Amino acid sequence: MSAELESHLELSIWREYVPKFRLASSPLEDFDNPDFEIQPNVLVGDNNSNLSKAIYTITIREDVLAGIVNEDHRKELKDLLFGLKISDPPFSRSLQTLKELVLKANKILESNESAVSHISNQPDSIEENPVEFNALLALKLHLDWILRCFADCPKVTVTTR
Amino acid sequence: MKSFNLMSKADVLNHVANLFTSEAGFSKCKIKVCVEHVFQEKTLTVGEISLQTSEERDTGIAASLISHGAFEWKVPTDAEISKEINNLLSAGNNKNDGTTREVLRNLTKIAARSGLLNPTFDPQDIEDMPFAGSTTIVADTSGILSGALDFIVRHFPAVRIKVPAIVHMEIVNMRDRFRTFRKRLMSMGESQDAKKSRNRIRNRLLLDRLKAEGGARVLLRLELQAPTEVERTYLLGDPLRSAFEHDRHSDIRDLDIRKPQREYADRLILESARHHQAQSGPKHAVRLLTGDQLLASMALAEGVLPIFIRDFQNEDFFGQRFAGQMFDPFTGNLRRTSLLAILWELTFTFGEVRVYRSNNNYITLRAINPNHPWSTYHVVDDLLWCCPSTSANSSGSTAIGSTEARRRVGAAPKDGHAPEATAPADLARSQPTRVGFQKFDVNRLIELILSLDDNQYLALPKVVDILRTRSISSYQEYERFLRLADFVSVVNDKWYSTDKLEELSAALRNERVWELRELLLSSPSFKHFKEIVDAGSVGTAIPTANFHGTTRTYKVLGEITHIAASVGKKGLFPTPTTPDVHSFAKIALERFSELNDGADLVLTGQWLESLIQVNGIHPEIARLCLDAASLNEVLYRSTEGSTAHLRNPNHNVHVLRIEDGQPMVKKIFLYRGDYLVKGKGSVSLRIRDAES
Repeated sequence: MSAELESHLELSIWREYVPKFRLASSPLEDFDNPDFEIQPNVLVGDNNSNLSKAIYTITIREDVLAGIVNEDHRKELKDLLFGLKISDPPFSRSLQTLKELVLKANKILESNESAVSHISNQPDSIEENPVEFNALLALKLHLDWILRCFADCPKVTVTTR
Repeated sequence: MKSFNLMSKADVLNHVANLFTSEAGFSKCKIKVCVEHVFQEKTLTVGEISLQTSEERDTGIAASLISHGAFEWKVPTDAEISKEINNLLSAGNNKNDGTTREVLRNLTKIAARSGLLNPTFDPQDIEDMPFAGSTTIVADTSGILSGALDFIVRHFPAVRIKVPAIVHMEIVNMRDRFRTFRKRLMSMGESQDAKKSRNRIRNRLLLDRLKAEGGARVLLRLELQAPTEVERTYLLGDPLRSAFEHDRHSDIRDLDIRKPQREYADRLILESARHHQAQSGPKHAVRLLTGDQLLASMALAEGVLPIFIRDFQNEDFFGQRFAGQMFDPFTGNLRRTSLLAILWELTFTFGEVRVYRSNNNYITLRAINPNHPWSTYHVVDDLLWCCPSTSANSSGSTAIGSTEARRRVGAAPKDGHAPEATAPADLARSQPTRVGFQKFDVNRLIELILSLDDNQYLALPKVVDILRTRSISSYQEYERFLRLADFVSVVNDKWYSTDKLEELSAALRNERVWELRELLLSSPSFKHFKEIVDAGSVGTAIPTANFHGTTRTYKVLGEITHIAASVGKKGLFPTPTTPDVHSFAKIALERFSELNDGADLVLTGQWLESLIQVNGIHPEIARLCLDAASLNEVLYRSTEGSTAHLRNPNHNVHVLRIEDGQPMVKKIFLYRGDYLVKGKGSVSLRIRDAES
């Protein structure tokens, strides 16, 4: 993965998905295998399947942690932010992690340990050529909004990459 | 007595920028609001603004930061602000708690309307955003006041917006009530008996003012400034009569224009949505935007999906920091809110706003000047009454685009002729000794020059149209560059071309680069840029630390005039060398031999960049010299590579070209292989001496 892609953030909010119909996935027939037997269809989407659907996704093409001066704080936030992997079980990806992240970001902002940084994803137009911005504050404000909107919603999980 | 002048955002920008700029760097400024007849000439502090930058700090930078949203707004905690409101209303009287709560709610809504705070939607509604198919949104009053309609317009410009007539009526009704209370308050005596009712009326006036003026501002702003078309709905008979109109029927005494029948008004809003739903196709979604729980559930029960907005909590806004630069919630791109947009919103809602640095240094903005009658153009042009404090005025940097500066330029033109162009000289004299660089798009500048040459003069709206800019500071940059170079004179918002501009236009149209360079030297900033380039030596990148975000503009100007060329991320290098054919042939072979690793081919981009860095030869000159040397059989060249080489996109140079008869700046990619030999893939190059 390139350094440029590493700095990008894709954050998704997931909600329990209850299919309206019973879903099935058919096994592929392996005619070359003499032991092959047609198995009953594997049902997915039953009550135990933990299906989720993405209800909100945002891709930020900026290094949102670029302005953090203290390396330890930067690493701490990075671990929190990028630790919400889709391969992890849903209970470990709750919105609580985002709340912790917002609290930590708030502390860093209050202690003025976050500086402005240049925008990496600059548009070509000169007029739109941006000045610097406080990426951590912008991220924190966005996470605040996500928490306001989704905090009360049951079985909501979050993933980042 | 303070004198207030009508000003646009462009005019106020430089005053505010001056206020933030001090000798020690950027100062923090407080934002204070005042409601006439309610706060008794006292002000309520609603936050502190600081500008965000790590670069050198001057007024020009401050103006750019303000308009680009590079600021931070620190809002006091709800306890701090509640205490201050209570003190302003009646020295800590607890009976004002309800009013205080409402003022806090309305302050939060102002932040939401300005775009600093996104409204809180239901997860279900966010899931539907951005709306996939054609969608109409019918907004009720709460949807308008909460900033949710602004959010929809800002992020989903394709969505159709409908504001039922009853909503307009509700807001007009609130405005009427606020004016009535104001009149009543002004006519009340100072007796002890009057004091109680005075307090009550004052509180109601305050709340009606915040809702009514805030709501009216949204409707006017969306109608006059936003690209979205706001539609009114069919009235469905005469609903307003039953909803508001005074009725003298002896059995029904409740019907009064000042007392809307809320449930009936809600019913009419829902009827508007249902009416539109009935007329739309099955795939067209109709949604009702509301923060009213009863209306939302009534809509759900009747088959109209609402977009429900939840109320903000105090902790969502108070005690928090906000930035003018935020991530767009759906694209993830950076979205900027100008500080002026917030000041305008606050001024229209509260009536008066102060941007305050110290007792002697502040700016007052007012929505209405009691000494002057209201006019429609105040609203259409989005003007406010502004009184800069003495210190800010005397700092001497009146905005170039400001009304005062325009007045200073001279009298209005007679018989359509441009007046004596004395302005540039005046302006040049008034400039500080340090030459300021301007930031603009060179292609748009060329478009403007050609249009001015064709029309002789252009009115400001047409100029803004050509420049395709909404940012006031941006068009001021173009104006400053052209005026200081004596290419235009600006009188009464009209830009007049000068003789010099005609010459400039001819040089551009005929690709006469040398002439273009000489004419551009009339611009103090370009002249200064060339002096910096000339002071550098071949092979050394030009220092750009003092360009303050304008590097790209001067890089493009330098490249199209052949005085410099950039080499990837290494920087901009001077290109003063224009060799004759024989000298060039020698240089070309030397560079080729150096780069040749035995394959007898070198990448054309490598070769061209080597000529820039080692010999100071611009790629355009190199291309012409190579053609001439080949034609004169001084050297033989051949190229290879039919597929475009898409690597190294950062290795590019800007050149002047004529396309469809119009001069324009084109970006050429040195490694791509379509530059050196026209119409031929020339990714790699082989050069041989004709004598060998």
